[in-house]
Order: sequence, then structure tokens, then C-alpha cells
Amino acid sequence: MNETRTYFFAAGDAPKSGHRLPYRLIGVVVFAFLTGCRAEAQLASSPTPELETPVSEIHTIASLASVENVSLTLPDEEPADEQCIACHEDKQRLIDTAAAEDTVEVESSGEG
Amino acid sequence: MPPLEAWEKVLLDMDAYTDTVHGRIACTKCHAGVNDAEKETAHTDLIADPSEDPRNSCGTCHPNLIEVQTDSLHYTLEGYETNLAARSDAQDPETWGHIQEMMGNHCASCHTTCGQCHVSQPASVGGGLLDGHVFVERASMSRTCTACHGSRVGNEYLGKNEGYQGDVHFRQGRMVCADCHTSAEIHGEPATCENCHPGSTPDEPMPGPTHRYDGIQTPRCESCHISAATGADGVEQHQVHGGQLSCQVCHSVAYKSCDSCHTLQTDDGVPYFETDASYMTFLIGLNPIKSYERPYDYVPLRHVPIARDVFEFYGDNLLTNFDELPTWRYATPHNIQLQTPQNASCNACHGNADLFLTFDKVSRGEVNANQPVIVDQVPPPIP
Repeated sequence: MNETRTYFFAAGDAPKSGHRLPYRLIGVVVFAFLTGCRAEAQLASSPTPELETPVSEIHTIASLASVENVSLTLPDEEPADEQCIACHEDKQRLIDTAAAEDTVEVESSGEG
Repeated sequence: MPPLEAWEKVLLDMDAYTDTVHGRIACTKCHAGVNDAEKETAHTDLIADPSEDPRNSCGTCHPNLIEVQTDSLHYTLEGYETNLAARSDAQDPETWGHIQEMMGNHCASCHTTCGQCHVSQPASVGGGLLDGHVFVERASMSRTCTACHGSRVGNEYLGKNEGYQGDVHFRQGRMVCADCHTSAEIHGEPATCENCHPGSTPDEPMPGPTHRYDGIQTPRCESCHISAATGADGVEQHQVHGGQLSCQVCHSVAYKSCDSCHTLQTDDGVPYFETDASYMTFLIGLNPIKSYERPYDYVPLRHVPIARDVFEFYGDNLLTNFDELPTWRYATPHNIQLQTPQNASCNACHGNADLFLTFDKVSRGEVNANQPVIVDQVPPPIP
């Protein structure tokens, strides 16, 4: 049960031992509700659910945790480059100013 | 995938973009150029794709991601180098110089950048903003992943090969690439021992992959289909064959193989390629890369578009070690089905020589290269 608690509380936020039970009950109820919703949604989205082999929840054997990457500090808002934006928002202006080489188009379904 | 008009590729949707974190950054900070009404002036020293230099663009806010991503196969294309180095005399500077010139002209367009997944379509299909310059966290399957991985994986998965339905994960689950291929995998985050064995060893990163089937198998079917892997689902074949056959041996259908992708240039120096043939095959062979992660005896094999003379435009006899690798390669077709012709019964596969890469199905000039994968004796019928 200790392991379950770590999913709901960050370190330092854990309630004192006498108050743990209500939090655990709330957690269990929410988990059961979400699991039920997901199972129903999966059944509803499958045109022929009877053909499907039941699969377990996705778990993380060899599917690595995502990389922590985003800067915690938002970039300062900078003055907009209004001239750049004015042109690149204006479809007709972009059409009128497109150079011949810009119109080279590639159609591909990928080679890989 | 239909091409975008030139204007469409660079049209901003400022209503949406301004509200995003990236919308707080001035255009010229990433793209350089000049904030001017005249196109010529405005585009002075313009950087069309700032993420070509990821450390000085995306990396200023996403440093941890850039650190690993620049070692990923998507970025380095090391898979090509690994295979071509094995087939050639890579120690000879002249030979390797010719091969690198060829790769620069024909392979490098598949190199991708942050921007070519998260803000625009890949350059190899002409680029073009995905959503008015709004950055997308999860790349689009049809406009990003299968824009490059289209002719084989994309067509298999989406059911575009005539006569073969799409992968069950798409047909019934509407799953997209990123549902199985995690961010960590796509960005090349190195695995550690602890990823699979929690608490067992110090958290040392493993060496990065040198080709797509190197290292830990990600994704793997068993991550979701646990009961099939353990034989606890009541399917006798899973109990009998578990670990001996890759899942695709029983659960994929025919997929595309290609021959001889000749790399050439037009008279005025424009690189192009010609493929001799592409055709649908389903052939089971011996596993050429057997390992702890991929212990299977049998796997499906796909003929890759290589031949001894495919690079002759760039130099004579560049692939001196051609036989070093099979031309029928380990494959993971993306057209999984619950029921397939070969798993209909035991003897749909056992004793059925049509399903196996036997000597007679290999081109005469490629027999030596394919010795490790050719099946000498087809598994006998079950009485």
C-alpha cells in the first residue's frame, strides 16, 4: 500500500498516518472509475470487438520514460516582428511574391 | 501525400500561434533575417529551418532533449553508414569518400530536424508548416511519420497495398505511430540497465544504436500482449513457439520488397534514383541478428534495394564486401493481423515451402550474401 501512496502524493505532502485512509479510498474510487470509462471507450471504438484479443494496460518495459526537456522558465515576450508577420499572414501577398523556385513541389509517399 | 502550394507552406496562423509559448519569441530570433516589408531585405541571411543547428535554437530551452536527439538515428542516419561500411572497404579513404558523396546526395534528405517533425512537414516531401507555425508536441502520423516511412511501413500499416488490409492496430484501434514508438525511442534517449531491471545496477546509459534493430527492442508487442508472451492466454501456438518465432512470423501478411536502388544524377547534376522492381512478398527465414533481445530462430525477411552495382555512378566496385550482409533482411512488417494464412493451422506453415526463403528463391548472385538467412530445411508437416 505504501507504493500506491507514492502515485498520489509528492514527497513531503504525504498525510500523517492517521489520515491516510480517506485519501486511499478516494484514489481507489477514481482509479476504478477511469478504468471503467477507458474499457467502455475501447469497446465502443472497435467495430468488431469480438475479434480482439484482450490486451493489458500499456506498461513501460523497455519503453523509456520521456526526457525531461522543457525549460521551467517561460521565454520573455519579445516585440513581434510585425513586418514579417504582416507578410506571412497575407495569403495573397505570399502568392504574389513567391519566386519561381518556391513553387517547385514534391509529391512523395516516403521511401522508407 | 498531396503537395502544398508555395504560399501554403509559409502561411502563419497568428491567432493560434500567438497564444503558444513559442509565439512569445520574435521571428528574427530564430530565423534571423530582417524585420522589413520588402521580401528581399527581410530574407537577408534567413535561416529557413533554425533547428538545423539544434543546440543554438531548440536547445536553448530544451537542452536535455537536444543532448540525446543529436545522437538518434533520425538525426545521424547512422543506420545507413553502418550497413554501407560493412559492405564496402570503409577504411579506404577513396572508396569511403565516394560513398559519402553518394550519401550526401541521396540519403541525407532523410535526415530530420526538430522542426521537420514538430512544426513543418519533412524537407524530403517539400516541407510546409503543419499548423500555421504552431508547434505540435506529437508529430502527425500522415504528414510526418509516413511522409518519410511511407512506401513500406506506411502503406502496410494503412492498408494501401492492394489486396492487403491495414494493420489491426490501425483498423480497430486507430492507433498512431507514437502510441507504440515512444518519445524516448524516437528521440534516441539511451536506455539504461535500470529501464528493464529496476534497482539492479547503477544507472549507466547503454551505447546508442548503430542501426534500427540494435539494442533494446522498442517497441515490443509483449509490452501490451503480456499473456501471449507468457503463454497464459490459452493459445497453444504461443506456448509452443514462444521465443522461437518473432510475432510477425505468424501475425503479418505480405509486405513490400524492393530490388536495386541505383543512385544517379541527371546531366545537370540533379541526384535521382531508379529502383529495378518492388513486389509483395512474405518469406520466413533464419534470424540474422539473433541476440538476447531478439532470440527468434525465424523471422520475416524483406529484400532491401541493394545490389552490387547500385552506386556505380559514384565509383567502380564500391561494395567490395557486398556478401558481408544479407540482401534479405530482418523485417518487422507493420501489417499485423490476428488471423493470417500461415497461422490458420499447423500445416498451413509446417511443410509449406512457399512461405520460407529457400535456396531456389534467392538470386544466383546473392546466394553467398544470404547464407545466414536461407532455410535449408522447411519445418516438416505435423502428422
